[in-house]
Amino acid sequence: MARASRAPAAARPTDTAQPVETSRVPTAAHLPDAARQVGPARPAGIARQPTTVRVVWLATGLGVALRAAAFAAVCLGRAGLSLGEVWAALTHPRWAGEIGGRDSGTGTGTEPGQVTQAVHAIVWQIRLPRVLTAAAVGAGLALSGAVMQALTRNPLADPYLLGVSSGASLGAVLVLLAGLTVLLPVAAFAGALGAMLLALALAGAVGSLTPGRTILAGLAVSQACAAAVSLVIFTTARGDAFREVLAWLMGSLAGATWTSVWVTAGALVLLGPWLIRLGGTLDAFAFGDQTAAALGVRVGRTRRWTMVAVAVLTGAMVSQSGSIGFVGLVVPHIVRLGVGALNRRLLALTGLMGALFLLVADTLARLVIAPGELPVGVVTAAVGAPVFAVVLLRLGRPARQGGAL
Amino acid sequence: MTGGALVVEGLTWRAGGRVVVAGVTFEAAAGQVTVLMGPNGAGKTTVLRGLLGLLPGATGTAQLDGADLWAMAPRQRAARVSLVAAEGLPAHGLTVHDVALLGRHPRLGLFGTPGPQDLAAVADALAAAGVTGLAERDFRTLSDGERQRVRLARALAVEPAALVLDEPEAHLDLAARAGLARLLRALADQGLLVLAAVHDLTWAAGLADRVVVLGPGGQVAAQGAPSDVLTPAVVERVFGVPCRVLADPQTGAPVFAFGG
Repeated sequence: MARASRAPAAARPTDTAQPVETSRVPTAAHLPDAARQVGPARPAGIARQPTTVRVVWLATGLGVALRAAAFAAVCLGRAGLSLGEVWAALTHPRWAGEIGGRDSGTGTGTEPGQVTQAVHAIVWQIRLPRVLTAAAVGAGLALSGAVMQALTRNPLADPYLLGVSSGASLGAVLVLLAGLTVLLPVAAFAGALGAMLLALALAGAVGSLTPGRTILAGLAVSQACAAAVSLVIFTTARGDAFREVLAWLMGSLAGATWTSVWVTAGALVLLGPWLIRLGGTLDAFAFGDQTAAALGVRVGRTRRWTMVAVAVLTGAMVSQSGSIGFVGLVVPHIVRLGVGALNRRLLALTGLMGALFLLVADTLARLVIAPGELPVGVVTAAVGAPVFAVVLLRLGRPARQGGAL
Repeated sequence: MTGGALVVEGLTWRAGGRVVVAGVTFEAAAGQVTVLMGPNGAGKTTVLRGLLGLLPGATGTAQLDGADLWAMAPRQRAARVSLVAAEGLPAHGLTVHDVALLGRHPRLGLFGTPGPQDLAAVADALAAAGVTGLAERDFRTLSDGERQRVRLARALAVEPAALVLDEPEAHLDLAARAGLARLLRALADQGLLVLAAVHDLTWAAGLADRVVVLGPGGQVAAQGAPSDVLTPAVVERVFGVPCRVLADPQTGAPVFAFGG
């Protein structure tokens, strides 16, 4: 109410046509001396918020790239499918005999040709669920990673910070070795949530949930679970069970089914928008808890519930794919290079980029040593580690100087 | 000038069985710079935190323009009282504009999106703090003096009724201190209520319209106009250091000399 430093509306430059992008020139007359002594004001008309425009362009570009990559990923594989076959199969969710030109004529002039039942099955039963799961898991992990990095003010934080992946591994390994493979996702999810609750309880037992305590508690729970996993494997795993356990521990999308799609996409749809819209609040944490509180954030409550949401989202992903590393750590850093560190702009793009990143990584994992398959975690690490090194080298530098990207 | 006022009555807070502040009562008026002084541990920061509602279990009252600050929702309070204090650096490269935009959080809420009027408020705050030219710079690459101005811009972007600063002059060089004092004076002249906890006596005496001195027991030891309050007797009683008050030969402003 007492803010006289604000220019009266009538004195403002009439640039309201594009208020988001244009500079508001301060009317210098009533400002303190200090306001005039530092640097010239930006001339009117220079884009004040180039990043807003950039976010829209990048989101559009990523959306297009994601669709293209998904389509390509369905085409590529041991059984190479043509674009036409895939298109015909995709536009006919139910295989009703040979799909010919007669009923598929959409007026575009392209004749999709004959699609056999085998092709239809490859597309609908194998590749599409896998592609969609990869995208959902990538988006969920990247988004979770960005949120954890904001909540802990730590660039090395990732979605597994609260022991989620180690807890999931412990649950998964126990049921795998007990021969109850059907229960694997449930056990992994339960393990993830158990580890998260344990870590939060441990951190909260000391006092308020500060970033330092949270990280240490997560580390303690992670290490305990990892030790338990090693012990269980060492004492009981033999032969096939050992290979099965190892595959799960390294993370894989090979077993993706439509159930995986529903679980991962469902968790993403339920929690993703909530986390993305929380971006502005997460930004208030950038300068520490006191500053966040002074900006009106209920610090303890916000951090606790957001961490629970992240753990549930990550747990859902891990229950279907095993713990795939590097996505949640690297993707937020890549996106920051493009749009800066404000979570308000970052989070949605990070989700899109994560989906694209894991989709491409999983497709490479399928193709590189075909007919064999690499663990997708190897690919994400192989791509992620060098990228992360580059990001680290640039971390000290302003994100947008020189107008790169 | 809007005639608002901050009234703190009987502010008492204990931490771990120790009484940190005991019945602190003072007023600060809009359009004035009020300076809170006192030795380390006297509770200056605690009083400021109390105004921001960050002291769970505190007793007493804190009212701004007749409204109970402690009864308000955090966001509502944060929109009226904003803080400039020592704080950590962001882990990632935020631009100066990004930092100032954070000041809009109390007005945007948990899920809000900034609109044209938020960007206008940010632009005005950057201008008022004299950092418009730095808008695209990475906050971490700035000097201490520049950073302090940017924190001030963030606090002004809130469009608060009261601006609360905790040792704003710390780590600043001479020129930056002088600039900050001019800036706070200008903001007060425009009607803002400015309340700052300050250690440097000479700087405080040049800046303040009114001084509130907290003694070692967490109680108000003296308050009033700087020339009435910042006397050798009060300084020695509160800080335990003998001092002389000299007059600046040009302006007549008080200068404090110690030792000898």
